[in-house]
Amino acid sequence: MADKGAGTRVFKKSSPNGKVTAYLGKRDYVDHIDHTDPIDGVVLIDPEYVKERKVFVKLLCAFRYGREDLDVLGLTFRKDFCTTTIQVYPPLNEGDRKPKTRLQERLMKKLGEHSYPFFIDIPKDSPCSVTLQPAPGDTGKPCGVDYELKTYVWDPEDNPDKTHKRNSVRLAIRKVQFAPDKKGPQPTAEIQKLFLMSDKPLCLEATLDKDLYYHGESIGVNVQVTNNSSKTVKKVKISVRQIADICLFSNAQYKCPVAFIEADDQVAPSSTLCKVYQICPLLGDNKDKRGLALDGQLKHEDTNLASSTILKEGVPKENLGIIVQYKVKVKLVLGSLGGEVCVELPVTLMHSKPADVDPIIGSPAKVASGKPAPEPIDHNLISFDTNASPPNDDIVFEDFARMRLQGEAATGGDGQTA
Amino acid sequence: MAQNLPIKFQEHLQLQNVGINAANIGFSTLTMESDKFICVREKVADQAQVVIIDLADSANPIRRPISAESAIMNPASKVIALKAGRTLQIFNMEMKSKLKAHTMTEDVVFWKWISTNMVGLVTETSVYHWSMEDSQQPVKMFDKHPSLAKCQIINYRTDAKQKWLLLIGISAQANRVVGAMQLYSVERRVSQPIEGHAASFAQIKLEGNKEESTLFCFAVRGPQGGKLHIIEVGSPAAGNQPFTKKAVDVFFPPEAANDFPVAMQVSPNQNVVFVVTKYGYIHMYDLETAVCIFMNRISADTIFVTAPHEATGGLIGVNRKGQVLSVSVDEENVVPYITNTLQNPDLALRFAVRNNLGGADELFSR
Repeated sequence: MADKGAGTRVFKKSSPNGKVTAYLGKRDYVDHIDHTDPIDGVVLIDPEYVKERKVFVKLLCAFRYGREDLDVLGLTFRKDFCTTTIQVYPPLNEGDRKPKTRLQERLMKKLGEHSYPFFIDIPKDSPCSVTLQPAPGDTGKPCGVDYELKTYVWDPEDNPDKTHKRNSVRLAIRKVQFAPDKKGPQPTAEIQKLFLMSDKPLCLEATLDKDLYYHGESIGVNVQVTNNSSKTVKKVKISVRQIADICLFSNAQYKCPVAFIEADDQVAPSSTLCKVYQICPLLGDNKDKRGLALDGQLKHEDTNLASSTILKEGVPKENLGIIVQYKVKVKLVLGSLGGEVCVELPVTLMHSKPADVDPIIGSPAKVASGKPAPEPIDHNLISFDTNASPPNDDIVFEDFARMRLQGEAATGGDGQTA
Repeated sequence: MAQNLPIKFQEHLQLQNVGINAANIGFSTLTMESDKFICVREKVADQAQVVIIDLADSANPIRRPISAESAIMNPASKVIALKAGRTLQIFNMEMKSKLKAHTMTEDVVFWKWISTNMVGLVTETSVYHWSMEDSQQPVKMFDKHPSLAKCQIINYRTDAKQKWLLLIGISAQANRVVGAMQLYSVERRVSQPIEGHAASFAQIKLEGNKEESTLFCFAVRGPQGGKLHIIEVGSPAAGNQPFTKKAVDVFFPPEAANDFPVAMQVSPNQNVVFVVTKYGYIHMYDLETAVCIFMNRISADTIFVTAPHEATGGLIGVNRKGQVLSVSVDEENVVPYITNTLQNPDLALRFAVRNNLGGADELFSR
């Protein structure tokens, strides 16, 4: 996940020849369902270099579904969901230009006269970033839905599609969703099974303590078995499965267990069982599963299992890229001939909305005793990601991470492409 | 006259000249854990920053955004400890990496590096030691004595072996500032409350002894006046002669009616005790005999933080104006000064022999 830190952190990246630099205030753009954070940034150019040429910023959201190095037939294993291109330089004198954001104002004040602001709206209903877990040894960009913001210099004498690596900058950004504030009903499921030799059924009822869990949180599965049959329940198996709908040309659904427990809890005829099982789906236990959907990656850093996709009404499935859902499956294993009884409960797995509040700043004298305990702080209390910023500057620059992939084993592959 | 003083006074830096706001030069915003670094918390525009001044390169302070309410630099290396509420974090600034983090169950009211790899943490109720080694959590050392309950904690220190621990607090009572100290023996697990304002531990090898003695020195200004006590703590090492405890008056001029000791450092080089008072006076005592060698006013502003000055064995301090100053023994002048001005040839001879200093040749021949 993105680091949180004090001060205004600004991400920057320069083109290989250093003549064009793009600045962004953040890497994660939140889909609030009714709207998505717009991308507001600044591009700094060297006018001596750019001269009569133009500078554009292009947002590209693509679903990459095959390794780029396998692209031999001129086919690209990718589907572009949306592209938006805007001209940054020379600035267009549109009457209805958006007012500059505070970040843009501050950046431009700091960067000087050769900096130009830009706005790009991430199209409504575009999919969230998802990475499909690469296999060890895979190179190149991992498959999945990713967003890239490319700033480049365009020469009118060139082919319109022609861009050069030396004077373009690619920034990987993410579109993310956070858990909604509204809590849904407790998931519950019930099944009764009648057997040939018994006149009364075996009842299985399973309930989760809530419908939404944060990543890393343990799911409490309340299992109630009323066994009026003549069969014996030998085992209780509980699993959490990730269901990923890949909405490309035809819908394909991939199911993958991400957590599993098996308990030797027996329920004899005419007896009951009531027990809460704790199960916690974690990426750490699933590093070997190629193709597992993960939350989009920015750096070659660890991520987590993909968050559940919040489905919006009226959005065609083809526009969603990868729809991720989770289900908890409770299975009772009966004797050798009895077969099994199972129920499935939908569950949502997401990140909590980060607090927007500023970290604590205050003198120890103000911390009076007897006050309620402050929340523990999980961010770093100091930020090193600065190049000796001058005293009157409260902007902290951080170099934009290159897009790399991390399989189970570290690979040397650098996903940067021309 | 000036060249005959037994101390050397040196100004190293004016913090305001390197961009530190005068308002941030105080006990709650500025820390100096050793003579290597000074750490100041400042707020520039909307951003909280820490300014780290490397005293070996004071012209280039490092500024970093922080969200901490306290920052203390390791006494030896570029390692910084930060605290916000109950969250404690320690970073290696060169590696830009977090070395340790811990969340306390109580607020930390005072903390200090007590060695290069140990932080002392003082909460409302107890004192903890947090080692930098491995993944160690803070370990509770002792509970605060009730006599320190209403005090503002101003210092915490230990002897060289961390067998003796000392917590110092002050409180305002009936028009004077009362100092309350708690001395704790790790081996015997007992506490002793002592009235005192400033204190230090010292190791000294006494004449004829094979092993060093651990001395505890403290200065107090009580209703009856000022006193400096020097006492040996613990049992003397086998074969050692015990140290005879000393108690001498600490002089306060009539115009300094409300003055009191605020800091103490013992020079390991010459075995002298430096006492700094709130009004900016410095007193220098011989550690062995507790004889006052010299006193003078060195600062018109309160020196609110001090640390040992390694190069000279003296002390380095910062006053409210932001002057970083050090005081040390003038090794050329001190023996003649004791001989001639103090008229104490016995002490002069002992001082010269003990510290291998010149200026006592004629005393030998006497």
